[in-house]
Amino acid sequence: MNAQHPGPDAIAAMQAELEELRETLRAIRSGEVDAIVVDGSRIYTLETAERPYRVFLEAMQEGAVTTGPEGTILYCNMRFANMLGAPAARLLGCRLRDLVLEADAERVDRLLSAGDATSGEVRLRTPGEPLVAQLSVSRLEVDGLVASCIVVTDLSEAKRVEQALREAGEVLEQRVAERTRELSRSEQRFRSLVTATTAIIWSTDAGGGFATPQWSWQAYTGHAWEKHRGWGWAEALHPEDRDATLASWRDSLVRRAVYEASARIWHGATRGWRHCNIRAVPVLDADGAVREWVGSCEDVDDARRAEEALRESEHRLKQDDRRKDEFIATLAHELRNPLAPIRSAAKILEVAGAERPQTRWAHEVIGRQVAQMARLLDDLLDVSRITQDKLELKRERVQLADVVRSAIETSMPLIREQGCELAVELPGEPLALDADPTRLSQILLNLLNNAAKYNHKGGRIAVSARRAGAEVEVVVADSGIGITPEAMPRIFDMFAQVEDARKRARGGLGIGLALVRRLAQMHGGTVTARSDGAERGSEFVLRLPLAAERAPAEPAAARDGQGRRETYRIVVADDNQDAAESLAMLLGLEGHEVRTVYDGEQAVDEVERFAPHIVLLDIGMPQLDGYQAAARIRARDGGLRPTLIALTGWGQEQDKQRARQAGFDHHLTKPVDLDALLGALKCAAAPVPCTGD
Amino acid sequence: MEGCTASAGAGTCYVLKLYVTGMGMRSQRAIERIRAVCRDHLEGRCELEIVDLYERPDAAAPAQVVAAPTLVREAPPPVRRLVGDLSDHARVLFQLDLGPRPAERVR
Repeated sequence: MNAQHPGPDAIAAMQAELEELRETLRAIRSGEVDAIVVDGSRIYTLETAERPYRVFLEAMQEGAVTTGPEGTILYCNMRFANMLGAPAARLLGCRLRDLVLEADAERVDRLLSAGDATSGEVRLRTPGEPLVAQLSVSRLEVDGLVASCIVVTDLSEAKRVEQALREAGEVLEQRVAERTRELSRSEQRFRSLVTATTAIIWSTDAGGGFATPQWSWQAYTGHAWEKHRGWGWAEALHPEDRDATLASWRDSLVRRAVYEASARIWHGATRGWRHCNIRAVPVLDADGAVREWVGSCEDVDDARRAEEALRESEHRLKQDDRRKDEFIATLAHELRNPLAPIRSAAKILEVAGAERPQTRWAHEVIGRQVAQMARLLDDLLDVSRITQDKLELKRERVQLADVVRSAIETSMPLIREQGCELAVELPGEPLALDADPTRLSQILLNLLNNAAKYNHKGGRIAVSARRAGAEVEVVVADSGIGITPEAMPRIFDMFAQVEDARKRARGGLGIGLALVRRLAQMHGGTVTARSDGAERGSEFVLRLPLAAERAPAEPAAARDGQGRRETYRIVVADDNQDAAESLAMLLGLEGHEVRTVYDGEQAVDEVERFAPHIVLLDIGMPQLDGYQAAARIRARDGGLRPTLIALTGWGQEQDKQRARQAGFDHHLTKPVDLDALLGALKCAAAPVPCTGD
Repeated sequence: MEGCTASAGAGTCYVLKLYVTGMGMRSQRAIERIRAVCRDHLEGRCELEIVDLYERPDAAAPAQVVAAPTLVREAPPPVRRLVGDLSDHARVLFQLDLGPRPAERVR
């Protein structure tokens, strides 16, 4: 014992420590602790402190097993017992390796003897299917003894999911395989479709040349890679098409626009050039730059050749058609030539043998038939003129009444022949038209003739005219065979005719109404037909616009019958001797002195010798034709300037122009109408030249 | 582990260590209780560390801890040890100089 007593602080401290120790002991003894520390660092846990762990073990989803050194089960939780389908009490003491399938027992041994934190898959024996489980092992050492704590995870759910996934995967794979098959089938179809129509599929780089071998190009052109690489493909283009195609291609490259062209490409297999349609589009990168061009060439050679052949045959047909029209025109014209002398001869008969009835009959017959032929030929010529669009109108201001009367006059013989009655109703007021009197008359004549032809004996024909607003309406009605509804749509068509035995006997070419319609149209008018049906008669209505009102009293160029009766010296030149002589005879009968010649040279000489007042020159003469003869005559003009009258089958405006230019004063168309000729003669001698044409 | 904050004012900073054993029931209770005390009485001036002896068995000896749970008051001095689940609230306060000495318990 120290001489020094501990101080009050020290005593307080000791007291405090003592108290602390007493408290500690008390706490331990009364079980207020969870664990005691022994030997400085060994923790001994009191049983009750374990409970949370126990609960945890039992409650968790996994199975928990603790095994001793030989792998015997020291503890297992409820979950584990459930997995094995046996009560936990029965499992205690079993060896873990005995609870798995034979094949997995070794694995259990390995896991238990391996290091800490290992895991493996085993199959647990159960009353039913073996249960696949994952064993996660942790090692524990307690007082030198080795124990294992194992977490057992039921993998059956996972396995099931895995199986389902695998099955789903298989189904998916099947479907993908099927789709791929479908796709490849449709791709084949597409490909064959494309190859059926497209001969070549190609692609170039952005620069416009082939960067890789083009098998399709090679297959078509027969050009190998060495030949067609880069811009070598141009060699396969037809030389005539090359420049244009290259220029167009270069342009497309620059503008990055869709490329379309047509060119002939060399076809290796047939060793020939074939027409192709070429098309290409640019393929762009994400940044908009051109990556390559993809194109195709469509072989259209067959189609092109067929098209050309078609066009050619069409052209030929048109040519043939034109030639046919020209032929008809020429034919009609030529056929008119013989008519002229026939007519003259008939006229002579009339004058010479007026008293003898046979002669009179002969002359009348000839006159009528010639007139008929002339009419037919005129119709034919008109048809050809219509189809060639060469019909011309000589318009003047005419009175409707005059035209109607003229038409009736001409048609009268036929009407009387058919034994028909004619009733005419014309308006009192004068109705003026701006029309070609000849053609108008032709229209009405045609309608009247039809009214007579398609009528019965004693049938009625009625002609009426009236003003209808700004138009004039002329109606030609008959009580004849009428027009059936089937025939109505076609009656104005060219070459359409009523199929009728009686009609056929009446002759005609079936062009009348077509002409009528065309002529009416050219005058700015219309012609329409109406009928109640077969045997119910018909009605044709012609409508024409009235001429504009004008200050009255401007008489048309009058051809008055009065005139001096002069005698002239006349030279008649025509290579057709009959024509020349008959004309000369006629003129002789009129009291003139006539000389005839048969060609242009003779005409010129005779004019010099005879010094005629008037020269009638046929145009179509050999040696020197009428124009040339006229020119010569004018050139040699001394003092007495003869009147030159041209006789020709061509009545066109350009022919008249030519005649005038050649020096002719007048122009008459053959067959020469005697009155016209006489009228021209009168004009010839008039102090002021008149427009007698 | 709470720490002593400057804003706590003029109060002294307590450094406490609670030695526990994992999920033991009393250990859990002790943890709750000391946390409550720190919150209610030592706001901002309590540094509390929980030491799990299961994880660090070697920590017991140096601190002269013989049982868990044990609350060790390291600062301010004197160093004091309180064993148990800290359910005796009066005693806890007294050990932390936050309350009077409680009457002796009769056992």
